[in-house]
Amino acid sequence: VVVPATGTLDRDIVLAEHALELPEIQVTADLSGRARGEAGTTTVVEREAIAHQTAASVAQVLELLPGVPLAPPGLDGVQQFSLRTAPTGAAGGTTLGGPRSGDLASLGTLVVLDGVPLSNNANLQATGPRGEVRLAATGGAGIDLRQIPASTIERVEAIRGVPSARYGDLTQGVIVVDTRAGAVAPQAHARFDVRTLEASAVGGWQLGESHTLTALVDLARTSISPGLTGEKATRITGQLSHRALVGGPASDAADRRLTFDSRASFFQLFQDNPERPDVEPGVVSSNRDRGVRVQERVRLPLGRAAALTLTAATDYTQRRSISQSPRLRGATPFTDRLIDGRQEGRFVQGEYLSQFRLEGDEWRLYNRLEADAPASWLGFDHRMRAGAELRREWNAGPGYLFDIEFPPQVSFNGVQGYDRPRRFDAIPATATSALYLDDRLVRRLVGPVTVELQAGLRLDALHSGTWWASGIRDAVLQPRVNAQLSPVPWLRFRGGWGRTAKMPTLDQLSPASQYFDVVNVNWYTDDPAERLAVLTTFIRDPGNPQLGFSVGRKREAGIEIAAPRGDGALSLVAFQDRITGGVGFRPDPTFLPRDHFDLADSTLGTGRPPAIIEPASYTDTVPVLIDRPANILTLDSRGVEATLTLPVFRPLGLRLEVQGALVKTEFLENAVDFGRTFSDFQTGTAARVPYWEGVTRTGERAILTYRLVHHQPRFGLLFSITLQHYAKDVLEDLAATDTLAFSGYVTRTGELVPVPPERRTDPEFADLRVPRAGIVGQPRDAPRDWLASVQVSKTLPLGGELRFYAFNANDRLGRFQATATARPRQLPTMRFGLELTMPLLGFLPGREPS
Amino acid sequence: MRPTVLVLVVLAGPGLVQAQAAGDQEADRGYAEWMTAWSPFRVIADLAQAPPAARPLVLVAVPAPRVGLWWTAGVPAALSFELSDERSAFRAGVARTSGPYRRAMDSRDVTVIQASALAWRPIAASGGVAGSVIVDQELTGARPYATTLLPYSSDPFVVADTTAPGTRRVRARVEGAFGWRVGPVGAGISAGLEEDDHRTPDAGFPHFGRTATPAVRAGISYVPHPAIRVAVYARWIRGTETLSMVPRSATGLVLRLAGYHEPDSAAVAGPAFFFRRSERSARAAGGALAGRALGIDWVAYAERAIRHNRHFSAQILDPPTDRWDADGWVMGGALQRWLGDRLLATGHIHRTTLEGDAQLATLEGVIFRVRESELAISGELRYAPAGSLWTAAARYHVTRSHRLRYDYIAEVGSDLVEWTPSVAVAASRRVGRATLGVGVSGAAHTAAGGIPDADAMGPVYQTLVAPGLSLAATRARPVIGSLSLGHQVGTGLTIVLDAQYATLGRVEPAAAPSFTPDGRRSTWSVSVRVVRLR
Repeated sequence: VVVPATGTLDRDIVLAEHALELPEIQVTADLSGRARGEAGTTTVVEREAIAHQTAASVAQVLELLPGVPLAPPGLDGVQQFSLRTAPTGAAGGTTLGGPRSGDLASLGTLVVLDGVPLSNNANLQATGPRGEVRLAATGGAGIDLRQIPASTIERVEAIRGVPSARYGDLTQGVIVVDTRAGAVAPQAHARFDVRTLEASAVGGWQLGESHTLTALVDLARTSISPGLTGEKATRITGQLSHRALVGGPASDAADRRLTFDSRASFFQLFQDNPERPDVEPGVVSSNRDRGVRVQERVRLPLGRAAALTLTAATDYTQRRSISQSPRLRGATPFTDRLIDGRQEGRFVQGEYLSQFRLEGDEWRLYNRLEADAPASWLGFDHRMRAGAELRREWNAGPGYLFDIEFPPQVSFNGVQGYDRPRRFDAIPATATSALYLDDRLVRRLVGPVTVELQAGLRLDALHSGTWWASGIRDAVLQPRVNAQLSPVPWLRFRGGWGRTAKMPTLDQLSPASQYFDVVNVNWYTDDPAERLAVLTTFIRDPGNPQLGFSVGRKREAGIEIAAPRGDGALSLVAFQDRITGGVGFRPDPTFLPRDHFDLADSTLGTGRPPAIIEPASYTDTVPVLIDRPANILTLDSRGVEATLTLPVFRPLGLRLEVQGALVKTEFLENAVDFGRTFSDFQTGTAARVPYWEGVTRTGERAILTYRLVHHQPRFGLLFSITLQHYAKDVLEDLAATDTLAFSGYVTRTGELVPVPPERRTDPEFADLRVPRAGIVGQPRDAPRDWLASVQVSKTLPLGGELRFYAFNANDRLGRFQATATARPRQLPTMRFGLELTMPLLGFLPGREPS
Repeated sequence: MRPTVLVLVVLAGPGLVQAQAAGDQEADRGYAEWMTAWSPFRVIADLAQAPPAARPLVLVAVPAPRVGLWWTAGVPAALSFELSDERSAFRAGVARTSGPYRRAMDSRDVTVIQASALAWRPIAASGGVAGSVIVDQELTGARPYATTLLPYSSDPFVVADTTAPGTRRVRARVEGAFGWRVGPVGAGISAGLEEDDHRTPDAGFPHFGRTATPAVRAGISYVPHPAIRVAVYARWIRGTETLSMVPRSATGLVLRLAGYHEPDSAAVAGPAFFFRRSERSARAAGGALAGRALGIDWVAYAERAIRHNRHFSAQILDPPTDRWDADGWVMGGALQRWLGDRLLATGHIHRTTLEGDAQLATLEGVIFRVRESELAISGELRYAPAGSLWTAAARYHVTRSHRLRYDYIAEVGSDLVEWTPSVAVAASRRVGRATLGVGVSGAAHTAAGGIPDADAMGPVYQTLVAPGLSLAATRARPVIGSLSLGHQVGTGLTIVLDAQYATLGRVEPAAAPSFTPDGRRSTWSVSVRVVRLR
């Protein structure tokens, strides 16, 4: 409004009740934005965009990143997220339960909530390498993002590129999530769809001039397969945050006062699958996680925009998993021995109800002291940051609990023993520490030409003991650099390179002992009284003293072009993320001695079992594999990400945004593979069997996402259609499968004997020339397809908003192939619902955010 | 024969809360037909057979019917020419239907909870918008046999099974229209999306179904003379319905009806499951003419419609499909004139014709042929003097439908002409800020023609098909009574409580064909409306 120098000017100003009534609204991610204090490639999603994303958790907010497949909103299953990774085929070989590429990538994707990292390092909710039951739990992989409701998030920064040295314990990237805090107009939100009901409320109040208090609460429930099972996921979260400014008069500038940010939060995430006696009697499973976190951040201004910040957090998560199912086993010699040695066992057989519980109580301490200060030297404007981190994580839970006689495993070949219960509170804690230094510097060179550099160095140390004063078990130095050259304001050339490191999990550092129950005597008769089973139990510790950090190497280069008016942008980034030393299970071959006994009084009909004749008549060897955690995995992802935002076509209120990513991932297990017949070798008499090199499993995926947004601010109407195009999706296992593919052989004493390629055709190796099973050598290409989702939002009286959403709106099934065995493209089924948002001003005390 | 034009009318007030329609079928949202004529979901090339019914007439907070390209023919391009007021209405209600006088594949009892909203407003002087939302949940008790949502459409391909689980169905529909004009030329588009999920909450042989239906209507209009408006438009609807049945603790026998012959049946037992996908695509193009002469507002329209439905079960590339192809015409017109300053006369005539052929994936040639037509004529006289406390209306409506269906496999057919004339009267009176309204309407359904001798047909026909045909061929008398109480709570803002009761039963029970259901079927409905006018 131009105010005349004299006279009066009357103007009617109409205030919009709702953001949808404003002419400019950002309902998609800021694809070329930057995370606070970061120069690496980042996607920033602000509150407005989060509010217009149909999302039950932060996982669905992350669908705004390039190349992320869309999923229906809800709490349907475990939601783990990995940056810049394409899925590969499942792991095979002899070791079941080993991490898959997605597990490794999600474990290496750091999630930072309100400035404090979340961690799954002490999560032991997994049944280990011999487990036969997979849980809907998250042990050994990334955290379950269902615990972070989207409705309470203020901002998300996904640092896909090279993060600054401030962030550690990661290999892929960082997801920074800030929940709502400060003075927030009280607001309620509800969602209703066929499977999910959700209600949430947020509100923040200014208490005097120096205090603000914010409360967040969210309740959600999803029926996972209504009509088919009774499985439900239920989430309750709550948070109270308080900010206080102390140390000076209220009239002082804020940066001269001490700031205390206190947060206390709670979450509960249950996924229960109750028994359905008429359909699956005896089958019950449940995962119940609940946690409390208390954190405090104190910021002390040091003048001249410098500050010292102390962050401390204590985090407790209780996890309770139960799995129960009927199991069937044949007549099997059985021992419940818990120490090394031989004893008389008995025979078990038939159907039984197996139940096990995994009960973990995870604790985490996190402390960070950071100083940051601006400076100016050598012609550059600097923002320097230096900090130190201390972490300690442990699990005080009762552990892996079950009745030894009714274990959750039924496979027993006379050598590989059943698992035994294990207490988690006996596992030593892990302690890590870190130091980092980071400098972000900017300089205008000539005219509009600007150069920006962020360089940092981080040192992560894993301590050998349980506290930070103990020695160093492993340490990794991680230099990181991001650089940007901007010759004109609308053009930026960017590049980054850096090392990152991820510590092993508690379970990998202290794996469960492995039990081998070698059968010495297996005398099974019709008369139970005459049966005799003698077994020798060997307990082997698969712990690996050499186990250390896995290391990520990230590099990227890109270009960003912004339209002169600022409402259009193009960004292209090429990247390579390579993890070496990822932790997997390495099958270490060795052998166990097996005593064979002659029997006395073995005549049938005596009514008593025979007796063994000591000493053993002879002893042979049984080859066994110790599944030892080791830094054997390599995950290499490379690809291109592109985003294009076109300027708003104002006559029709239309905006189009296109983004996509082409990612190829290679997942290599750097360990020998003994194939699927090693069990037969253990129990048979063959002198040797072949082994092969590890398999490289690859996945290549290209996803393009188009978002068309139509906005009518006059009616408070917003219509958006999101179309996702699956342009490429190929899985391939890279390994020779012919009869000459073997690398050597393993003997009955567990010795590996390599055979050079030129000798593999020799007659003496004829027994080793067998086809390799479990490898699909042909590329498995899923058909190209697309999926469209629709959202319509409309303002309501009193400042409310009603939204209709339809995921896979036209219910595309996906594309099948000409044969039923070919890999089809199956799309998630349609989901639709309504969301209602209403301000609570008038119902609750509050004021508009300042 | 010259159509009689003076008598007719249309028009209904808020109807029963019902959620029976689905996908590309029209849904009753409780608003007068002229208010939703623009809906992109108006049926294309299908004449679903409904049980005989009377049409309610409600006057409280319901404006007089309107006639025009937008209001009658639903052309969105005419929105900017005909829309002059702003109105929004929110409605929430519950209804329950029960009683044995029903067809074999109708739900035994149905409870519907429904919320809806409908609004329109002009944009400056050159445009207008309209929008509508409907959300409902339908709980059926035992739903014998029918698995397909629309077992009585013209398409004879229907999936049924031998179990009778209760079903929970949730549906949401969003639709909107936008029209604008530049000088004498107008353009407009209406688009919508309906999504539906229906499943058996707790069954040993659970059923899962879902439908997704996008629809679009677009056109242009032109005003060559102040008294003449002309428009052309095109419509498109593509609905998908996906069904699956999974044997858990029980097994089932799935029947794939394709007319009057005994269908293929498939026992579904674990680990197999039954899958069926129906993809229904329909399009139409038409033109409309409207104007004003001699104090009469008039409109005439004609539309050519084509439908292709495809049904398949194999989850492979290019699966073998059962096919239903139909085409037809829609023609109609309406008139409206004030008789003095107290009486408003409105008339409407609407005729639909349809020809369709069905082919099985496994057979060459047509297996089922349908030739159907429906003529609806209505007329309303409304007494609504300015400043009077009273409003009254009387309406006459008659429907004649002719359904000729022949099954080339069973070599039998049906040829049925049904007449359903109905009369409705209603009155309302304002008392202070309150308004009380009552209405009653009744109809007499009769039929002539022939249907197959059910006793000579197979057991599936007798169980699933015969009751529907027999009900259509039987004289029946539906009646509806309604009561409305409105209260004006502010300027232009009215809250209305509506209650309705409808009942349907046959007359002359002894003369009914075999397999005709007995007893009566009734529906009660209670709803609250909030109407805002500007």
